[in-house]
Amino acid sequence: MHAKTVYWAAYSVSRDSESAKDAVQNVFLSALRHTETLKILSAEQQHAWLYRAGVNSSIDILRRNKRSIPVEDAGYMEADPAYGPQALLERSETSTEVQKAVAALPKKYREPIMLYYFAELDYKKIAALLQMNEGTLKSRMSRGRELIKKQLQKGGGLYA
Amino acid sequence: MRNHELTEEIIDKLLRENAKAQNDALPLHEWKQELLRRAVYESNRESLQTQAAALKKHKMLRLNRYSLALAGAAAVFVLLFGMRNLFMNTKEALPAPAAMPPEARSFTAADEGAGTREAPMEEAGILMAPEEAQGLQGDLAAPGLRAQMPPQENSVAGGSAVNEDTALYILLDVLGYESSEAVGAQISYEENISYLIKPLDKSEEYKLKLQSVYLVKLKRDEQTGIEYAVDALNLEVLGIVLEKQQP
Repeated sequence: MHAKTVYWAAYSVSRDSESAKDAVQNVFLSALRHTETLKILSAEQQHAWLYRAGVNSSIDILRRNKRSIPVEDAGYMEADPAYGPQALLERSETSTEVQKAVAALPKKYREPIMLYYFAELDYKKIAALLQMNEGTLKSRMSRGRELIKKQLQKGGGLYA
Repeated sequence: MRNHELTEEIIDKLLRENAKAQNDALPLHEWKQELLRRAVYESNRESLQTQAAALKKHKMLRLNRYSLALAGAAAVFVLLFGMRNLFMNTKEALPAPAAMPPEARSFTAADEGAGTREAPMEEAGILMAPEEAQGLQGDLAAPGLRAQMPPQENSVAGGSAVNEDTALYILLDVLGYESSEAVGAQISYEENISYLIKPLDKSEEYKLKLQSVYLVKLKRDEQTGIEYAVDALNLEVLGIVLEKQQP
């Protein structure tokens, strides 16, 4: 559970699978060295620490590699009349189109979406991690899904 | 893409299914194994670092002990060596009995009183003084019998090592005979030496040459008038007879 949280927290920053995996390793090595400190934290605090460590580690990796994924490279799905909802459902497990659409979201929408769907955290935990109330979180979640829908329907374009 | 077909529920389902697929692809088990391996590694590394630090400290202590022991041993060696040199220098400053000349060893006050002390070799005419020997070197350099002698016999520096044949050649050379005459005649010096040896009209000069250069001592038998060439070092008769014979 913790590994997924860290991975998706890192991925929400880098939007690169390999960098996120490296971040997970870094975070857990760091946790290993700070075991004594983590022991005195509550479960929520430990979770928050791991999430923040994942985000920071991902940022460090990006800085180290001097690499960022341009929005254009995120691979927006081209508009295709053949892509109906059923077709998308059939292809969801094998394609990265939804993932790309999520990656193209602004950070304030991307983080809650990733933590909720991919890290499989509940609203309470996500609100604690992102330091916002659940109402704001739900609003951002809804807005994020709307943007994804538009992205998938239009097959491109930036969400300003 | 039609908007009314892509509802929020469908987006939610797409996201969940996509997340599940991607989470299933995450190497969570490998991460766990890697984490455990790294945990063991880190633990071992810390342990090894602790052990290494302890070992280094122990080695440094041991090295210090060795250094002290080595320095002590070196100091003792230097002290002993210095004492030995001091002892040897003191010993060399005193004349050792074995290093004394024979006459010095045999000469006693009783000998002096009785007048029985043997004269040194120079005084006895056995050895020539260095300045006298210097004047005779030219004769040896001149071409003659000695120059034609076999190389191994062309040196007489051996002194007591001179055998009879060598002594003969030496005498012939000293007396001015060519080796060809001696060798050609295949002389037997014991039988024909008197034939070959010319009168010692320069006996004193020859004597000096024999004595100084070839370390031969002439000994005269007063009754027969025969001179014997003897080794100047051990005074043994070489068997060479220098018979004063008139031509």
